[in-house]
Amino acid sequence: MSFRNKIFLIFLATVLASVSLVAYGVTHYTESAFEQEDSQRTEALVAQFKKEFDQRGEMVVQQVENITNADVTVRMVLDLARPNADSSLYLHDANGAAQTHNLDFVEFVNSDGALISSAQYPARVGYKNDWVTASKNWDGTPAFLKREELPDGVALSLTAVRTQTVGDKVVYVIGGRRLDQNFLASLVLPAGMRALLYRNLDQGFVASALTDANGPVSQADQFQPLIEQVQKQSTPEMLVKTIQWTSDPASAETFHARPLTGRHNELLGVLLLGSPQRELVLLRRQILKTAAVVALAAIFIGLLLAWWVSKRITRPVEELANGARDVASGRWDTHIDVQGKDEIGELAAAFNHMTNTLAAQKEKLVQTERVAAWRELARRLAHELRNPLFPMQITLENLQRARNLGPSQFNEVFAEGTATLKAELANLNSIVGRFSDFSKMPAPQFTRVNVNETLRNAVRLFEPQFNAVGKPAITTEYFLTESLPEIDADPDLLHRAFQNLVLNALDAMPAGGTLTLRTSDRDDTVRIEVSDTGKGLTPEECSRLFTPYYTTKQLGTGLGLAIVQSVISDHHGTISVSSEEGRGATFRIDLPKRQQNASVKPKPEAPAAVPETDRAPAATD
Amino acid sequence: MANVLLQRQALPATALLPQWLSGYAFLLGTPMNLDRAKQIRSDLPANIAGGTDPLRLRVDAVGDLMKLLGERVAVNARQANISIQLVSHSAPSSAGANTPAPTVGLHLFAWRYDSLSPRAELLDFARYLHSESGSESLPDTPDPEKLYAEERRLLDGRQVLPLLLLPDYVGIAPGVRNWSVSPSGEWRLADVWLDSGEPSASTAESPQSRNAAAGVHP
Repeated sequence: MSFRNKIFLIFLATVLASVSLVAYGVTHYTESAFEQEDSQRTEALVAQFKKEFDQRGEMVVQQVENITNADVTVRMVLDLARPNADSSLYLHDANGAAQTHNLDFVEFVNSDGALISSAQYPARVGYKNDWVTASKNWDGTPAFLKREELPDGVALSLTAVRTQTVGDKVVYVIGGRRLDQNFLASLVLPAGMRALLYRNLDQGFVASALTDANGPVSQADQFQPLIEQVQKQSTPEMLVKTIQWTSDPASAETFHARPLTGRHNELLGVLLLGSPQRELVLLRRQILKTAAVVALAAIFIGLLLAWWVSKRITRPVEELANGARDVASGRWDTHIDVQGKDEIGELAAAFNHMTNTLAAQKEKLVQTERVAAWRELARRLAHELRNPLFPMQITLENLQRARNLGPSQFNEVFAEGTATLKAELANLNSIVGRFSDFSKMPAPQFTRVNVNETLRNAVRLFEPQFNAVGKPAITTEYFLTESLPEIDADPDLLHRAFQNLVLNALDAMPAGGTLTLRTSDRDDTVRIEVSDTGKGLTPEECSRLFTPYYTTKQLGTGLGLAIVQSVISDHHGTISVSSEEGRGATFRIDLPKRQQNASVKPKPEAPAAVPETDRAPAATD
Repeated sequence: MANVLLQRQALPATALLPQWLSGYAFLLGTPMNLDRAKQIRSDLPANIAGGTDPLRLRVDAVGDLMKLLGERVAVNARQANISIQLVSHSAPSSAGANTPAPTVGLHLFAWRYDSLSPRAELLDFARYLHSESGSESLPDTPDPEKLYAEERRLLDGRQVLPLLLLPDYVGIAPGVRNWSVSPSGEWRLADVWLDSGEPSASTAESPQSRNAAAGVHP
């Protein structure tokens, strides 16, 4: 994956993560804020309802006080205060008081707790209501919830008790309002809210005990878990539960269940205040939709930004890479035109400085090497020329001295001298020829070449020397990859290079040994290895081995391996040597299979035979 | 029930025939014993006599008074752990023509004494209660001992429990003042006077009073 793609993906991932995080955070925060607001609104509504409920209790108290202080009640108490008073005369008074003061339940209770009159259950008149007489201070007591026994069952009432006292006579006035659907309907509820009442008058959950202002509640079973949870509470606390009526979340309704307890903290009912969640759900949907649209837009913008930023960042880097590639290909004076004062700009400036320095140093190095090469050439040439010149000078001096000898002796010396001069002149001619050959290395003419065949041909020229009489034997071992593909190469130059390597190996094994030849296929290149089992090379010798005119031999010119390196270099290949002293040396050549930007001639019909010049060993060292 | 709900206008009944009709009613009284009632109820299986399901009490008379009395019966029975439920009665009832519905366990009815003959009243009671076997031997002339034995037999059958004796008012003209009746049904005419400004007594209905007993027929 390219650097631009990496930056693009990283930037895009960063944008996506940021947008997602922001979208989630904003959505979550907004939802929480709205939920909190809704919760506060609901709590306010619940508080408003509680206030309304308490006001109803105060109204009941007021109505009971009105009954208590009514003239008819005072007269009744006065009458009952008389000895042998007949309380049965007031059997129906409670009913009249209930109708007059608009109460559902009214009862008068005598000092001894006996029921004087009852509007809701006259059949119980005469029975004792001990719970009333158990408390001595009713006048300051607010309204409370009470389980009301009725002829046709049990009801829940909001009840207040007051007393009317005349002398020692005390009559208790009990009044209340029935908590049923009519009571719920009479409550002033906040908009969008509804109240339900569960009368907890039987064990467990009874669906028919749940009512709202319109009567029995449909799907009352949905409230069973909430009601049972309230029933299990040790201390009455308000519980909250959301009920989803249909599969649509907008149908959800949140209910605050407020336990209604009696005077002794017994659970008599549960008031359920329902607040619809439709608006909140729709608002949440709108928030999510908006967040999704914004996130998509942000992602799209992020894509564009990522593409622009990655391009802006990687363009100087690509120019640097191209510059480095140019330097690697030999254009040392490469200059990168990158503006800016950031790190990339500094890197480009450093690169330009580096290439300038490299170019200068290269020029200096070339000049130094050129001088050194000329010096080495002069030294080697002087050395090579001095060897034949000295015998020639001696021969000439002998010839001068031989003028004074007799004719027969002169002729003998003359013949011997001229032969020597002729041999030395031939030697001089050979030396000049070798130098001339090295200076005239031709440019390679590429064609398809079978490397194995070329290597075998090069070795075959030296086979007579491997088993020459009087010389230690040299064994050859081949490890050639037969499936090696043909490569683009100059067969003559390659043959000459292989010849020089084989000859070098022979020279390295004066006491005999094994010459190993190996080829292998390595992706885009082929590898040729020539190994000997000679005395090996030192690291210093290895490092200088391919320097022209450097030799470790007594009679070498130092041009053999230089020619090899020149040929391999002209084929855009590499050559290296590895050696351990005493264990021989291995020359390793890697040649590209295909030559880029070079014309390759078609392979001749008949395989090239061994060149005429190579019929005999003609390697140079 | 007599003192409070009926405001002392009735007397507790201990016998089928009132004292003023039979003369031996005081011999048939049974004192109230709530503990004994609870004990009997607890000895019975729970699925009968209002243990688990309430007994259904049908009230025959039309009006709030009989319903109130029926509710009082239910309240009293609850003291003995017996549950009673009132059921409405669609058909109008009349004395002597009552047929208890088979699904109703209790029947609160009013018995009107139409005759001054205790024998005739007892025979009517026996016929109403579908128990006429002993009543065939009653003599034509009143024999208090035989009447007592027959009434005792009917009461011991536990089919009927007399509750109250109360007078039956028919109507009083608007000009009649201070008219009252004793619990035994006797008119207190000594205190009655006519308002001179009102129409004469000839326009008023003749006040009629009969004693009636209310009872529960299981």
